Amino acid sequence: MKPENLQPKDTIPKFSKRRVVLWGKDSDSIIKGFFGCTATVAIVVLFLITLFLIKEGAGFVGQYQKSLKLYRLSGLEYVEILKERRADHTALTQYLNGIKGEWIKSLKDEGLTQKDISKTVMSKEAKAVFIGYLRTSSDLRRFIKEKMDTAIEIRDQEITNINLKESLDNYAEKISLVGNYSFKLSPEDRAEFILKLKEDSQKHTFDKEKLSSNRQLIESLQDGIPLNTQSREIYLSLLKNEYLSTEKLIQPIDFATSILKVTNEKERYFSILEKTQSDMEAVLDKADLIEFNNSDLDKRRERFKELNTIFFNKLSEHKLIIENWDPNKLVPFWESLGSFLTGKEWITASDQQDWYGLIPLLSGSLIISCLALFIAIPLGVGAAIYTNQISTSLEKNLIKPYIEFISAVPSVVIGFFGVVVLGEAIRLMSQLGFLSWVPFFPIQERLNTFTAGSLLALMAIPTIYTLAEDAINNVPNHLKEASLAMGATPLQTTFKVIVPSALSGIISAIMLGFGRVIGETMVVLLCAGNRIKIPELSDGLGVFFQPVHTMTGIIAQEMGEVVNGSLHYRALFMVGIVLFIASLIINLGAQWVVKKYNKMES
Amino acid sequence: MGRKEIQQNGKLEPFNLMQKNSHKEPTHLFSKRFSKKKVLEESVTYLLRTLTYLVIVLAGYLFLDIAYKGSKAIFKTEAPFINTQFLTEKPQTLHVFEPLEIDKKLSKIRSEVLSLNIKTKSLSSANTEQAKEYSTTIKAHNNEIKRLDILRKKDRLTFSDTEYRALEFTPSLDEFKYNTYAYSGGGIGPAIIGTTLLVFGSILIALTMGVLCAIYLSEYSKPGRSLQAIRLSILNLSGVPSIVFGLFGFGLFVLYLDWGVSLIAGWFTLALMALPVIITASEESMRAIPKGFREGSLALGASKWTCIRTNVLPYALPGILTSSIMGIARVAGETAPIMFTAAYALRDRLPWEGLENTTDFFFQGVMALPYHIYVVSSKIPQNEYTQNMQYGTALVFLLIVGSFALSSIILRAKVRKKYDW
Repeated sequence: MKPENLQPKDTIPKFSKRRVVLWGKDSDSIIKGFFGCTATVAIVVLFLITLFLIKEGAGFVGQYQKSLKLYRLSGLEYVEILKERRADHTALTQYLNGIKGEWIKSLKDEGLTQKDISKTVMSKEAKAVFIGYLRTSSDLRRFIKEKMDTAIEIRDQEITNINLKESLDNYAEKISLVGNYSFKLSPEDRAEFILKLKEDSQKHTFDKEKLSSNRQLIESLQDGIPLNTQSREIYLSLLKNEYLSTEKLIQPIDFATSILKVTNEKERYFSILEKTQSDMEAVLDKADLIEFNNSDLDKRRERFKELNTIFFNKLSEHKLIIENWDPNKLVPFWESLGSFLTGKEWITASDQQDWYGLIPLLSGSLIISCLALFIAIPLGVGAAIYTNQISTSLEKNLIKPYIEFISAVPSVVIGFFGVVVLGEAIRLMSQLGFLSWVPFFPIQERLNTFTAGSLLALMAIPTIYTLAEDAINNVPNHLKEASLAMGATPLQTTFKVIVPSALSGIISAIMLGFGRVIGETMVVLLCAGNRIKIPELSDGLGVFFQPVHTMTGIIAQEMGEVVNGSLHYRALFMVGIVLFIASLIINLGAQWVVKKYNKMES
Repeated sequence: MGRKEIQQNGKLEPFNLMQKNSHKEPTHLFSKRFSKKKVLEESVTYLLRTLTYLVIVLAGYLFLDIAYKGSKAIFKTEAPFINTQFLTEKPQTLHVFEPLEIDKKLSKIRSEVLSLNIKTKSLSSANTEQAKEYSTTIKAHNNEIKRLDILRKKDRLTFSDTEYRALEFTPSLDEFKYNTYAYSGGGIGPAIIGTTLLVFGSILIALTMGVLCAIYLSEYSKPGRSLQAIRLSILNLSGVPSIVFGLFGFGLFVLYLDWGVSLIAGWFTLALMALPVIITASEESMRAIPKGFREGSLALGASKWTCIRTNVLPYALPGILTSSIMGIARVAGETAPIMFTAAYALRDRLPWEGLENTTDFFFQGVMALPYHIYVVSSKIPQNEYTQNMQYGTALVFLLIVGSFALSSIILRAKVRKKYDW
C-alpha cells in the first residue's frame, strides 16, 4: 500500500452519499455495471458456442431421416440387400485366392522353378476351379448392377425434383418481391437481370426490335439507372418465363410404381441364385481333383467347402428377407439418430448412398487414445513420483520446467516430426530382419495408429506429469513423517502412503490427459493415416499398426469442402457435439473424482 | 538418500543381521549389507529414473532434430549468419535443374541395384557363393552412387520463382532435368507476419474481456450457487478441444455472419478459445490476494473501484501476465481453429498491400506459420529440396512459441517466490 493513498485529500470528512455522475448513479456503481456487462457478454458468448453447436447439429437428424427415407423409397435399400450375397461371394473368392497364393508359396518352398509352378497352378483342373468359381457369380453381378442403376436413376430424379422445387420457391419469392413497387435493384440483382436479358437476346436472334431494345436496356442498367415501370415489367416477364420453364422440368415420381421397376423379376433373381448355387457346387466337386500334397492346404480346402455350405444355407433366409421387404416402412427419427451413433460406415460423396456412421471414427479415436495413455501413464506418473520423491532438488528444478515446456510444443510441430521422422523410422524398423518373427511386421503404412499414438503420448505426458506432481506435492507432510518415523523406508513411504493418498489427484490427472489426447487434432490428422475403417481386432496386436481416422481428424479434413447447411456439414457438427460432450464428461469426471476422495478423507 | 536407507535398515534389524552375518567378515552397525529388499528398492528407483530420463531424451531428440535440420535453413555460414531471405520472402515454387547426364547414370545404377536385390532374394539359401558375389557388386554400385550424388549436388541449379523469371537464359533441357516443387522456394515472411497479427489481435480481445470478466467475478459478484455454476462451466469450457472452437468459428463467423476466411474471424475464434483459460487464471490470481488487503483499503474510506485499482490489481498483475503469456503460447500454437477461419495456404500479398478500404484489412485471410507447417508436411513430398522449407518453418515456429512458453514458466516461478502469502 502506498502511503499517499492513506492520506485523505480533503480534511473535511464526507459521509454524505457519493456524487451522482450519470442517470442517478454514482461512479462506483457505473464501474460495477460496466464490469457486469463485459462479464455477461463474455459468459453469454461462451454459452453461445454450446447453443450454436446444438443448433447446427440438430438439423442433421431431420435431414438424415429424409435421406434414409429416400434410400428406402427409391429401392436402394433393396439393392443393398441383394448386394450382401454378392459381397459374400466376393469374400469366398478371396478365400479361394488365398489358398492359391499359399499353394504357389508351398511349391516355391519345394524348390520348383517359376515355369513349373505356373504349369501346375494353371493346369486344367486347377483352372476349372479357380477361374470357374469366379465365373459362377457373373449372372448375379449383372442382375444386381441392372437393379442398382434403376434405383440410382429414381433417386437422382427425386433429388433433381427437390432442387427444382427449391428454385421454384426462390423464383416465386423473387416475383412477389419485384412486383412490389418499393423494390430496388441491388448490385447482384442488376447483374442477374443483365445476364437474363443477354440470354433472352440469344433466344430471339431474328427479332431485331427486341434485340435493340434489350441492348439499350442493358446499357442503361450498366450505367446504374433504377428500375422503372417498363423495365420492371420486362424483368417480371423474364422471371415468370423462367418459373414456367423450371416447372416443366419437374417430373414427379410415383414411388409406388417406380419401386416395382426395382423389385420386379424376383422369380428371375431366385432362379439366378439357384443357378449360381448349382454352378458353385459343380466347381466344388472339381476342387477335390486338385492334388495339393499338403495337409495344410487340404484343411483349408475343407474349410472352404464348409464356408460354401454356410453360404448356401443362408440363401433361404435371404429369400425370405427379400420377400418381406417393404418400401413403405416408416423411418422414425430415432432411427436416423441411431444410425448415426451406431453406423459402421462413413461414406461421403458416393454415387449410391451417403452414410454417416460414428463408429469408425469413434473407435479410431479411442484406439489411438488408449495406446497413447498406455505409453503416457507409466512415463508421466513415474516421472512425477521420481521428481517429487526421489530426485535431488537440482534435478527437480531442471526436469520440472523442461517437461512443462514440452506441453507448450505446438501439436502441428509434433505431427510434422511424426510425418518426416517417426513414421519412416517405424517402417524401417519393421523391415529389419531380426524383427521378422513379429506376426504383423513388416508394416505397410508408415502413418498408422502407433505413429500417432506414441506422439500423442508425448503430448499427454506433460499434462499427466504436472497434475500428478501437484497431487503428490499436496499430500500433507505429516503423513510422510509419520510413516518414516514408524521405520518404513522412503520407497515404502512413497508407494504405500504418499501415492495412495494422492491417488485421486493422479486419476484425475490421467483423465485430463485422456481429454487432451482425444481432442487433439493436428497429430492425428497428419500421422494417423486417415483411413475410414473400423480397426480389425482380429489382427491381434497388429491392430495398432493399421491406419485409422478420428473424430477430430474428420472435422479438420472435411470441413473445408462442405456446402453450408448440407447434410454433410451437419454431420460434422454432430461429430463436434460428440467431442464436446465427451470432453465435458471427462472434465466433470476428473473433478468428481477429486471431490469424492476429499470428502472421504475428511 | 542411500545413507538414510542404510541407517534405517541398520536400526531396524541390527541384531538379526549381526547374527546372520556373524560367520562372514565382521561388520560394524552402519556398514553396507546385502539384502533383497534393498536391491528391490534400488531397482525401483532406477526404473523410475529411467522412465523420467526416457521422457527427457525422447523430447530432446525431437527438439534437436528440428533444431539441427532447421538451422540449415535459417542460418548461413557467411557474414550476417542469418538467412534473412528465408525469414522475409514470400513462399514460392522452387525450380530445380539437375544435370541430366549424371541423373541418367544414377537411375541406371539404381535400377541395377534393385534388380540385383531381387535376384539375391530369389536365390535359394544353398547358393551362398552367388549371393556373396551379388553383395559385393551391390556395394560397389552403392559407392558409385555416392560419388555421383556429390557431383550432382555440385552441378545442380535451384531457383525460386522470382529468380527463375528474372533469368535471361533458362538452362537448356538437353543438359538438365527440370523439376518444380510447390511452396519450397523463397521464405516464410507472410506466415510470420500473419501469425503475429493473429496472435496479437486475439490476445488483445481475450485479455480485455477476460480480465474485466475476472474482476467482476472475483470482486463484485455475490458468492452463491449460480456463481459456482458459472465458474465450473468456464473451467470445463477450457478443456473443450480446439477443433470444436474451430468448428464453431467456421459456422458462426465465416458462414453465418459471412465474414469469409478472414483475419477477424480468426481473431474471435482464437480469442474465444483463450478466454476460459484467461478468466480462470486471472480470477485465481485475484482471489489469492488476502482479504485483509481489500478490507484495509475499504476501512480507510476508499471506494470499491479505488480498492481494486490500488490494492488488488497491482498484486494480481504478475499472475495475470503469466497466464496471458501462456495464453499467447497456446493461441500461437493452435492450428485447428484457424484452419478454416483465417488461414490461407498461399497468399503472395502482405496484409497491408493492395487494400481498397481500410476495412478490407480485417476481412482478408492471412498465411500463418502453423497452417504453413501443416501444408508443407502433408501436401508436398519429402526430399532434399523441400526439407529446408519444412524444417526451417518448424524451427522458427518452435522458437517463437517456445520463447513465450519459457518466459511464462520463468515468470511464474519468480512470481511464486515473490508473492507467497
